[in-house]
Amino acid sequence: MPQIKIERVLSFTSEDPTHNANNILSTDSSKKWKCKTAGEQSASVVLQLDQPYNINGIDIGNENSAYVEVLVARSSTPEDFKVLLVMSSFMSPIEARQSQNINKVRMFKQADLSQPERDEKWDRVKIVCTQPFNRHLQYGLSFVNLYYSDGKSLEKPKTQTTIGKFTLRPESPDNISIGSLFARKKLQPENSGELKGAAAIREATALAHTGSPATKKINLNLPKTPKLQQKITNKDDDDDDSGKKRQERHRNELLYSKDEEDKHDKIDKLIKQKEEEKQNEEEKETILHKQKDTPSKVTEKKKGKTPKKTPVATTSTKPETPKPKETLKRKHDNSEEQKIKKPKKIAAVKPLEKPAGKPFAKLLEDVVFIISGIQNPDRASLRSMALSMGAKYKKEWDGTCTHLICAFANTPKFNQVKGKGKIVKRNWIDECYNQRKKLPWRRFALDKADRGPESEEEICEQDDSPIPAPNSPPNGTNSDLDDDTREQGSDTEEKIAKLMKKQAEPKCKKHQKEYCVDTDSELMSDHSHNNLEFQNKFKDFFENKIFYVDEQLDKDLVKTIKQYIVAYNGILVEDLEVSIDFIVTNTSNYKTFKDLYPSALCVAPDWIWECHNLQKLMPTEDFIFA
Amino acid sequence: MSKRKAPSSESNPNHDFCEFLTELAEYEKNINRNIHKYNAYRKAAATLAAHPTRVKSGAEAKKLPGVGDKISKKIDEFLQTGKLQKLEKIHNDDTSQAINLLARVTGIGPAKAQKLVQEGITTLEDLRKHQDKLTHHQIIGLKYFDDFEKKIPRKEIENIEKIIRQEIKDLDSKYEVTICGSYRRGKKESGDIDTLVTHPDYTSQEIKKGNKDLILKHIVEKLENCGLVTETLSLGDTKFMGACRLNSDLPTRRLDIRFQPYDQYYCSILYFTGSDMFNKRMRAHALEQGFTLNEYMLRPVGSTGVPGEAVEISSEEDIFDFIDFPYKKPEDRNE
Repeated sequence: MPQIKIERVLSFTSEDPTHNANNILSTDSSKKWKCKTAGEQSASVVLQLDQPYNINGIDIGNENSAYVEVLVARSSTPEDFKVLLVMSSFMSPIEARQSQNINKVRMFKQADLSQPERDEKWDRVKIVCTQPFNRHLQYGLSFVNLYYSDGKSLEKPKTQTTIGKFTLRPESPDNISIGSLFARKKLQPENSGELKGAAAIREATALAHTGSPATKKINLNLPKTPKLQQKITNKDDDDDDSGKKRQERHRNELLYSKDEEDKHDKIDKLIKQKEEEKQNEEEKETILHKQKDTPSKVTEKKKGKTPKKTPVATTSTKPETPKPKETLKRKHDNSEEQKIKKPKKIAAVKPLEKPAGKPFAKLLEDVVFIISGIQNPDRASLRSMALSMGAKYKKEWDGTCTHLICAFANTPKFNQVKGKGKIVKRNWIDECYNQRKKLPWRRFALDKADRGPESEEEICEQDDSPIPAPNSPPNGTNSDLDDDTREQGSDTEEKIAKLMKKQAEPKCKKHQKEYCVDTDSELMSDHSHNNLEFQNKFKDFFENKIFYVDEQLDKDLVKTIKQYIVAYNGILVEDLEVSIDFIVTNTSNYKTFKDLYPSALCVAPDWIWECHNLQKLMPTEDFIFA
Repeated sequence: MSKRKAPSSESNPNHDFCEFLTELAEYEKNINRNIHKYNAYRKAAATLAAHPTRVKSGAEAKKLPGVGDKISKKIDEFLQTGKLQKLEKIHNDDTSQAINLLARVTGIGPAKAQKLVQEGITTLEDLRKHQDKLTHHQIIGLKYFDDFEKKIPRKEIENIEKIIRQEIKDLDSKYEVTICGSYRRGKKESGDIDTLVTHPDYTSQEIKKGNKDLILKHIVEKLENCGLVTETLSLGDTKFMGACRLNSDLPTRRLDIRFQPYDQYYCSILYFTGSDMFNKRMRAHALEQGFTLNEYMLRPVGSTGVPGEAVEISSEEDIFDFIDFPYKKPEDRNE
């Protein structure tokens, strides 16, 4: 039974100045509503729901009332209250006189409610309290929770959130229906082999002990010769969901005997072939997630043909480092810097104490989301932000979905998802994006009831993993490097990047946001690989176009527009100059611009969205101001 | 409940007023079928019965609650003439007399009595000849007409109570038995025996679940086997109406046994203890306090007049407490 959102307190008979009627809506059990003076005949409060509901459950937390009655009405006939819950006893006369058990909580289920009222929809709720037994009490309520039927969950036990003063930790509404886990798994990128929690720490420790990179040990957690490991990893890759296995290593150990994990030339060869084919295919795909990869793939890279970015599963992260949005403009600088820095080795840094991180583009990789109540352009920008962090977008809720990004409660999607998925406000995405880490969703839960103790840890972005620049060298440049070199390279690079960050945080912010997607030993090949994807993902249809965005537009809008321009490789200028091609503005401002810069085209923001939607440079006719 | 409610004994200073008012009440109930006039006369009679001194005029009586213009005039008429014209008329009206007579048979109400009189049956003799027109209940009522009219001495009820208790506790010691009615109010004699039985495991929730077995039937069977219960007028899941006889020298007595859910037991005790006038007053008071009281439960009345859920009652005192009504011992409920 999902909880009903109470829009507001419509009216009340009286309220105590400190214990006002609005407290009824608060989940904080210390906040109560009391009538103004002791001994009032009755005290009532009228609540407005955000839409008509078929109410089939009521929790009432008492505050000194002897009887509580719940009536319902509709806004169209506001005075015609019908009894939904008959006067129900919360205190006996003796309790009332001795002020005992003043905070009884009663939970009424559908069977307790009157017919036919419980089968109809109402949007107004009136709660009447009386205390005839003790005229010296200010009485009222501490809270009211209403629940409605969503049709399916009738038999489901109600999830109660409070018992008196105790708040129960809400269960995570992960919907585990038959097959949904598999569906979700399928959706996950095949190479999502990031380490989680304990695994990451173990791995990190191992790394610290041996001084060799983590990639080598991920599967077996035992030191092995590089060759052997390579094969094993391949095998895993061949299984198409090495990520899954990595997350469940204990299973791996159960399912695969050592023999099986041992080297087998023929099989390995086949596996390698397949793997290569697969990677070729993958490159054609446009999903950004692919940028990330499992550490295990490192070994694959040696084969050289289809180099892939291989993050070392480093755990070195700087959780709070705010990183600016990506600007593709600087990509080349990036790669160059990387190249320059690569030779440097700084051996002393041990970046492994912190919890596991993920590459930026994989931060939300296990998130499959839908959006509700958010309109374009926000919707589009939100979506692209989420997608850039590896989340998957769906139009409609289905078994694989995990999150609903929702503007306000009680949208149709909200009601659909309620109890089944995690419902968060849009700033979850914003904050994850801005802080570059996966923040616990409960912090941003739309529904108050979902807020609460956070079961998730923040998952930080992995530092210093470069995103390839368009000008990066051709594929396979580094493919001949042997394992050791690569490992060292990766190690070194992390350290370099870390140092760089420390030293030049403000300066190189822009670089970092591209760098830090991943940690990688194979810089060059990664670049090319990512580049491909990037080009697929963000076409350069704004390339060589110079844009100016009217700062007088809405702030958020300006921000979004700029993101889009940059994403599609447009050149954004902060100051007006003669060479500007496009000025994004609105009807009221365009004249000024037109006069000053007759050569520039003044376009509406809609043009940008149009270009984005169709993924190409669109004619401006329909969007131009003249 | 006994057929005839006589609110006052002979020792009462206003006894004669009560007598004719009660007679008028019976007349209104049986012949005119006007239950409100019946109630009005009975209320006046009850007030006068409770009045400590003899009323000397209609004007004086009018000050008492329940005595209005018409009744005060009748008291004046009675004081001046020693009789009532209206009552004389009724006494002289054979039909009215016949109806009143037939209605004294248990099981025969005013409607049935009128119908019988219209069919020409005006005496008990006629009735005995036309038993085909009667139900089983009415036949038994007719059979024991004289016995049932007789008052039951308190002592006899005490003995009957002992037997009932004994027999029922034999079945299960957790049964609770209370004899209500005028006996519980401490009267020296009663019209019938009202027995309430409950068991802690027998609650209205259980009944809702359909867990009613033949408890009452077992009890009645047991009482029949010991020879106490001699006749059954009606027997359902919760209510037995019948007759009992302590021994063959004594008249047959009307006996009712009600098997009540445990959570409704005290409301039932209150109700069946009466008196009915007291009950009326108590219910009216409950309503003033925002409660509705009946023989099953006490419920708060909601803001729109819809009764709420039954409050939990664990003694008779609780009921008084809830509605802020000063507790009265059963002996003090004779109104």
